[in-house]
Formats: sequence, C-alpha cells, structure tokens
Amino acid sequence: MRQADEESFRRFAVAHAGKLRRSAYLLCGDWHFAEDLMQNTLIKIYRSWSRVQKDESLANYGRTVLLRTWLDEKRRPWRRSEQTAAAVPDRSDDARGPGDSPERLWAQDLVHQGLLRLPPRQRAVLVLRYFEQLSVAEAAAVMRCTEGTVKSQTARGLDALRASVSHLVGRVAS
Amino acid sequence: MSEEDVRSGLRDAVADEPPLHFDPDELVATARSQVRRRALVAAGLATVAIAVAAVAVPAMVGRDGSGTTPVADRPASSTPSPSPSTSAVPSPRPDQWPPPGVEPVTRTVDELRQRGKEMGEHLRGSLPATLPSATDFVHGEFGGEAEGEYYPEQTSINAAISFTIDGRRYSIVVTSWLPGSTGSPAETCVANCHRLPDQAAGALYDQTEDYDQGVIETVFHFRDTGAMVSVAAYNYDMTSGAMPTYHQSLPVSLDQLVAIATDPELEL
Repeated sequence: MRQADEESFRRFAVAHAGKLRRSAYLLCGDWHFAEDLMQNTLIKIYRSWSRVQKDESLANYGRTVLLRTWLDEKRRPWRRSEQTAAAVPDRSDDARGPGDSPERLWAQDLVHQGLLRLPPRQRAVLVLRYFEQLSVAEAAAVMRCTEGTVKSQTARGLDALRASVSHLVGRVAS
Repeated sequence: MSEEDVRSGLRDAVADEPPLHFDPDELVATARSQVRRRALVAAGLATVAIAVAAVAVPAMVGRDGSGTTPVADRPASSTPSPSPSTSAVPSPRPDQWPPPGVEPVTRTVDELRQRGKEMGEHLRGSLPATLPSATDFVHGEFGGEAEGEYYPEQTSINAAISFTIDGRRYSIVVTSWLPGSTGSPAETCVANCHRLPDQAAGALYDQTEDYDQGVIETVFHFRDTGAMVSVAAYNYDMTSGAMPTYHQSLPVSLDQLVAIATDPELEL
C-alpha cells in the first residue's frame, strides 16, 4: 500500500475505532470480544483500502464489515455456546451514573440485556436504527438487504425486545 | 417501551465504556504482516501447482485420452497463475462473480423450508456412503440463523451434522447459497485459501482456519449457475454446546469434502 493510502487508512481507523467498538459491544455484549471485532474489522478494511477508500459511504462500509465479522464469529462453536447476555441484576446498581436515578439506569440495563436475547439480525437492525441512527435506506445498505426487510425486521425486533424486557422484569420480580 | 426508550437504553449501555488503547501503527503492522503472509502462501501454492503441471502435462503426451487424472484433464484451469497482487486468492473462475447473466434469485420462507427438508433427507441418505467410516450421525435441521428457523429474504440455508469416527465425535456444516447471493471467491475464501482442480461445473476453493486447537477446513463450490455450496469440517463436535474436545485430525478427507460440496442435490 502506498504511504499516502496508509496515512488515510490510519486517519480512518483512529476516527472510527471507538464507534466500531461501541457498536460491536451492543451486538455481542462483551467489551473484550468487541475490541477483537473492531480490530478484525479494521484489518479487513485495510486489505481492501485501495478499493474502498474513495467510497462516499465508507463509514457504512465499515459497519457492513463489522456486521459480517460478528456474524462469522457467531458461527464458531465457542461463540455459539458462550452466554453473551450477562445475568440481570436483581436490584438497581446504585453506584452507576450520578445524574440518573438508579431505577432508570436499571431499566436501561434491561434494554441491552433484552437486546442480547434477540436473533442476530434483529439485534443488528435495532443497533443500526436506534444507536447508529441510520435511516431505513442506510440500514438496508449496511445489511445488504431491501428496505422492506429492514422495516419488517425492525418491527419484529422491537416486539421481541419488548417481550424480552418484560420477561426479564418478570423474572427479577418473581 | 417507546422507541426513545430503546435509543436511550442503547446509548446508556455504552456509557461505561472502558478506555480504548488503540494504536493505529500496531494495527497497520498486524495488517501488513497478514497481507505479506497471504502473498507468500499464494506464491508457494502457485509454485507447487506449476511444478505439478510441469510433471503432469508431459506425462499426458502420447496418451490416448483414457484414464487421465483430474489434474491432467484440466491443467490450465486447475493451475492458479502466479499473481503480482497481494491477494492469496487466485482470480475466480468465472472471472466475474456471479457469472454473467446470473440474476440474484429469491425464495419465500416456505420454499426455503421445503428445500431444507429435501436437502436434509438427501444428506441422511448420501452421507453414510460418502463417509463410510462414520457412524451415529446426528442431523441438525437446515435453517437460517437458528436450526429450523427461516426469515424473509434469507439467501442461504445451513445444517450441522455430527458423527462418530473411531469413538470420537466430529461435525460438518453444509451451507447452500442462492444464485447471485454470495461474494466472489476472493471475498469469500479468505483464510489460507487455494484453488482446487475443477471437478464439476464451477470452481472449487479450499480454506483452512487454524484456531490453536480448533481446525476448520472448508471447501467452497462456486457453481456456474451462480449458486454456491460450502462444506466445513471441524476437528471436534461443534454441535455439542459444551466446550469442544479437539482431535488430532479432521474427520473428512479433501476428496470427501469435494464430493459433498459438488453434490448437485444440494443446490438451493
């Protein structure tokens, strides 16, 4: 790779490493695994940098690579058998977030725990739409599917998330 | 729970993010060494292939055409040409993927489920003959993200099958993609990848992934129809749900993997 290309890749990597790791964490629920996913994603982008660097939607390309990398990793047996969803605390975490009430923070933990119980593509579409704030068209481009699929997966994902959170709340209460 | 609750819930889930110690120089060094290693593997394989062709092609001269080996049948197409690029994957055949004229095909959930059932039945009958030393087959259902589960616009179906050889449990995963739904061989076969001699209508690639003790060998058959079938063999039972027990060798030979990957009954 030419030195100029390598420099532009470095700038891209520095600008996007944190964002990729946060999205990866929401998908997988583990910061260490999220860091591996981020690194592998950036290495894959490096390999095709000369081809993709002029792409106007480079950030979305990075999201696509991250998504594929995560889905590929999930196929591996030690990922299949791992429990990514941490145990739900049976009470609020008083030590966290001085600005918010513990009850509210506990409820927000439930959103992520509920998310981690969804099928992978529903999980991905909710992260892209509600965390990355992508439009339906952008999410479709990242997921390499139609806008109709994004809409239907989003609706199903939200229903499943609500059911999952209700289930978690019920389990803690009982 | 409103959509805004979901937004704020996800935002706050990453609020306790641990510090990121990211070194772009280290990342670039790792990426560079991977690219270099892939290039070396490609060059090595190309050298071996040329050496094989150099022996096989002269041996063919004077033959009456009968009893030729697969390599000698197609010396040109089975020989990866040395490439000046840094990619370890030789140029795919057909050069364009999917092949010209192939339009992406879609199937309904019901159609996919039906094909999954048919393929499952077929494998129940064919695998004992393909893997004669294997016993105690456990066939997982074909599906998408999960066994037996399908979703709209799904482009591939897969099933895991475990079995016993010499008292040890192993597994394979068979995946079939719709025509026009996969990336090119160069995008798909990315780890220690090399092209195999052609044995059916399409191009065959072999990939080996080595994860300390876990080894996964995958054969991809990129078919002239634009469909693709892959078969991955594991040196352990990846269906057990427990920590894997790794074995010294893979349970399936390359020829057996190729036989399954090129099976016309596994086309989606």
